[in-house]
Amino acid sequence: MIMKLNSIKFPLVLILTALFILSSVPVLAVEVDKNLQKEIEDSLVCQDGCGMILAACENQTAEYMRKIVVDRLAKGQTKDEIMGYFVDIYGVKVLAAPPAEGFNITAWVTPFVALILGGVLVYLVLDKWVFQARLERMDQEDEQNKKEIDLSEYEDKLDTELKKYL
Amino acid sequence: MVDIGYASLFISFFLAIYSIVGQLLGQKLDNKKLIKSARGSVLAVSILTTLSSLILIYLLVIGDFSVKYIYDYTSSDLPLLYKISALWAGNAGSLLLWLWVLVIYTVSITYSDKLKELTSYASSILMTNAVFFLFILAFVTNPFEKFDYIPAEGAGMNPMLQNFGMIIHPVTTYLGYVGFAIPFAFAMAALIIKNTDDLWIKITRKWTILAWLFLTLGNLYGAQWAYVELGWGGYWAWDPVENASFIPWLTGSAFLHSVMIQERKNMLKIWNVSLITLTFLLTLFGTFLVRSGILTSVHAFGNSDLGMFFLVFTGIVFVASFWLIIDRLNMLKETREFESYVSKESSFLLNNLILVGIAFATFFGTIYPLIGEAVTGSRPTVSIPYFNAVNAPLGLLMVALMGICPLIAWRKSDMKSLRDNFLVPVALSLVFMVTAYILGLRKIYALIAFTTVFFVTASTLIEFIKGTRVRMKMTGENPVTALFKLMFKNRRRYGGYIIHLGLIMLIMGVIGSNAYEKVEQKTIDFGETITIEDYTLTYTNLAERKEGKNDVVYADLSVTKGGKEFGIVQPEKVFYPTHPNPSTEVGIKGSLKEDLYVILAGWDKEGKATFKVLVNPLVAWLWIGGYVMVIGTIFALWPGRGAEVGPKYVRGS
Repeated sequence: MIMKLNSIKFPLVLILTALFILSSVPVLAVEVDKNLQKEIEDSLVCQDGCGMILAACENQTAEYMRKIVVDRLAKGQTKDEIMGYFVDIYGVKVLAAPPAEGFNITAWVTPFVALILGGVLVYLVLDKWVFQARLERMDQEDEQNKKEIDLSEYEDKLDTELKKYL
Repeated sequence: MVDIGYASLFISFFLAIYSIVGQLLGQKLDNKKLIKSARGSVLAVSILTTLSSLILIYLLVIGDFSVKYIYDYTSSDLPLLYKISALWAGNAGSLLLWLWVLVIYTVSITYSDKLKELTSYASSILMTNAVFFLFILAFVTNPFEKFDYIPAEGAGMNPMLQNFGMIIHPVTTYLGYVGFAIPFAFAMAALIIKNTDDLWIKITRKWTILAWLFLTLGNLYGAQWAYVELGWGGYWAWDPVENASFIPWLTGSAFLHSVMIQERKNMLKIWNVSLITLTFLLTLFGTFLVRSGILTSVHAFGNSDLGMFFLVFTGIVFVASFWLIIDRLNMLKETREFESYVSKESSFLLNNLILVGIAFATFFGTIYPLIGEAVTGSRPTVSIPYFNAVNAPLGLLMVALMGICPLIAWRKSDMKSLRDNFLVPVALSLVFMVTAYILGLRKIYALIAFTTVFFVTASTLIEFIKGTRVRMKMTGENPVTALFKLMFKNRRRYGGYIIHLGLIMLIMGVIGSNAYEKVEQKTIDFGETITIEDYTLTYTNLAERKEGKNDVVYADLSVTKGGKEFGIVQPEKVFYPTHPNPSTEVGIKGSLKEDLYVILAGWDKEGKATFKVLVNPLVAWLWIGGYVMVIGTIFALWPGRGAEVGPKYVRGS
């Protein structure tokens, strides 16, 4: 077994390890709901500016935040309570999606409103085009009928003329 | 050498301006000599830009740290391949690559000379784009900027960029981004010369599909890079930079479908011109997002003034192009009739609505932090949960349409043909749904999504079967010959179906990995195990090795699956002398069913280590699907018989 961790890496490793051991203590003491933990970590963003969701991030800030999640879950807090705790500290930017309240409702509603409006527009255009096609067909049929009428008039005339000369 | 590199860019800037003025003036005055001379300057710009790019690559390879760019992105111990890929590791170099691709594309269309008048205008528009990049490179961010001294060593490349995916991903993305400039330029040229038929679409069809193919590959390689290099177990984080290349891919896909209506029915002229303009504008806007640092991103180029230049250029292109479209509206008269509400044409309209809808939702979500901050004063975060929630239902609708569209005829479908066409795929899908539920697929959204995917697969394969049967009946060929000839004589159509099947495989991977991902994180000592699903991982070793100047710390975990030996997985952390933070190299043992994905998160002096272990179902299908899409595109695009457009369906034809 080679264990030659040099001096550059050692402080980093020590910090990481301390955080991991700290984060694992409550897990050993009280088993937390892993699915709920993942759900919460998926809904929060690491706050060191990396922009990653908590579940995906491995930096020290993320580990610290994860430890808080596990601690609070171990104390029996709900998802809303834990999320509320983080919002109190960092503001709404800690949430991975804008809360559906106040002006932020527009974030959730706008894409669907736009799609519905687009759908209405497509329907109206389609309706116009289909209607236009029907009109065109009716015009063509009228034209056809007219031709038939005209032709019958000529046929009558032709019959009359023929009778005259035959 | 350095001065030659810069001088080439500087001279190119003025030559590019001359090429625009010369071609436009030559066209107006019908002066062939002037046009020829201006086209010569397009060639000169391409040669000088190539020279400039090759010089920068040479400087990267020899490690001339007196050049700031070389210092910033390389070090002497960097492997040769990464020294070359450093060309696109930073702002200036990547913009030079962009320009290089753009001028090579431009010179190839300028000298293809299919339509002299159209080509002159299109070439001028592309050179206007090149002038912008040359201005940026010559006067704003010079890749050949020198220090007054020579540093002994470079700062080194960001460890996350030292991955094969990062060699391919940016190049393919740029080939895609720049590729969309070609149909845009021809569309604008057609409007300028008031030639509003579908000629520009025919000329640029291959360019459009190539651009789309490269952008598809760019997105795919980006996802693959994120999966193996970022070490978080996912492949798509809806990061602004990822969205910046996804949005034009969506509008480009919509354009590829809607041009079929113009080709066949002489309709949607205004829409098609607007859509390709929008796609081109989105490539510029995406670059603005990436270069400005205006939004928080995992992998942006960081804050710089460059973003503002891109924003201004995007604004100018927006105003100029839409002014031209509006000015030519009366010339974009088209046939305005659909024979029925239910037809392939109308399903294409829906397809466009949803693709553009997803593009809008992604765009809106990407810029919403800025809107939210402007209105409420605090900047909200818009990340994975938002995009998944908004785009998943729209995406599912899109997938369903992919299955419905092939079953509907051009012009109109009556009730009988609808019943005949839909009966088998719908019945098979219902059987699949019930069977999957019985077999344990109980998550309702996953069940619906997989059933939709099955429906699309069934309806697409039925198209192959039906066509083969008809051919067998008519020609008496055996099934294999009939299928082979059917596909090769209709390569455009069946290439499209192959692309759809590839996309379905990819979507299957997305659904599986999102719905059934399992995660386990644990700190364990030697000999201890982590159990996740059928897998048991036993921690056997923690050691260190040297790779060049880098230190690699790795752990060995022997894996059993269902009690049987499954090999060894070896996650790593790589420490670089030039960067403070180590990079994560994940250990992956993959199969078609799922990936076992192991991250070495940390360790202590005694050897206790923390591992994050994930089981990601069906991820392999993402990459397989991507390659099937590439095969389908090449199949459809290959020149010769079978690649031409289908019959026109306009009155009187």
